[in-house]
Amino acid sequence: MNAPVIALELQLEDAVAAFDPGARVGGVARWTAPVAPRGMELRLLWTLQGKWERDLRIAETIALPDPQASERRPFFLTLPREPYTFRGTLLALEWALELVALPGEEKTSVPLVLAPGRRAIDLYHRDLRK
Amino acid sequence: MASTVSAGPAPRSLKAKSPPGLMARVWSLLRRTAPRAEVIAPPEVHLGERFDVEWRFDHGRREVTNVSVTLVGLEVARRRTSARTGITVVAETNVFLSYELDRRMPDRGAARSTGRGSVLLTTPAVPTLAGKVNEIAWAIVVEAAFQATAIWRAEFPVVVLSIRV
Repeated sequence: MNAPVIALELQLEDAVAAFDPGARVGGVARWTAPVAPRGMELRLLWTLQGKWERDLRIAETIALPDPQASERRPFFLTLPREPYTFRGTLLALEWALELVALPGEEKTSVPLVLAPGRRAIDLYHRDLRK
Repeated sequence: MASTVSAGPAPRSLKAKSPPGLMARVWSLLRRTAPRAEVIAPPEVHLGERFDVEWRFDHGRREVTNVSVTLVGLEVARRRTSARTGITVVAETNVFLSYELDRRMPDRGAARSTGRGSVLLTTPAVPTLAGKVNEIAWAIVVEAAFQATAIWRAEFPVVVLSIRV
């Protein structure tokens, strides 16, 4: 049996996806489904991708209560102060905001940058070596 | 703007990361004559702030011509492999940032070296971070050499925190 099709969309305010630590993020979550999902969630998470393995941590889960079959739901959240987005030789840390439909865990996500100056920290950069 | 004012925890004698397995036992047996380092520094420091370190290195019976003290930031990527005999963890490390804190050339026959160093932790850099397998780690590394040959090394982990709000 095929799972019911659900269309998910996540848009950030002003299409900005890079933020200083502790910044406030606004956006809109949209979904369209044949029947109302049992639940909808926003998940703010980071992954620490290593050369071989990946760590994943959900920093915050925001429930979007009483979802209808089709809806447009504005949201705001405050980002944590760390960890920073970075890229190195062996490791890279990336943030993402996911919109997840329950119980099937269908999801869409947008990548975020969280770092001072709103730029991912580049550990390759030779100027870092003093 | 980066601050140079440090209001973190008081300096204290930091604990060295233990050498693994057999080496630890050998070092223990030879404790009286083996080289030994002591590092006194705050256990935590924020990015953008000054980090002050005092150190002392007893040469033991080794002749030492060069001692260096460095603050390093490390990427540590790990891989777990399962087998009937258990889980093996392999780690690869990369130094992404290195600040020289001090460097001394002891007098011939000297029994110990001492010194101090200070560094401003400039940004951008990344704070300490421990995932389940991967890690960003910081440590003060004391290395002793006889001429061009490294003869002794110890790491003293420190925690680097994000920029103070």
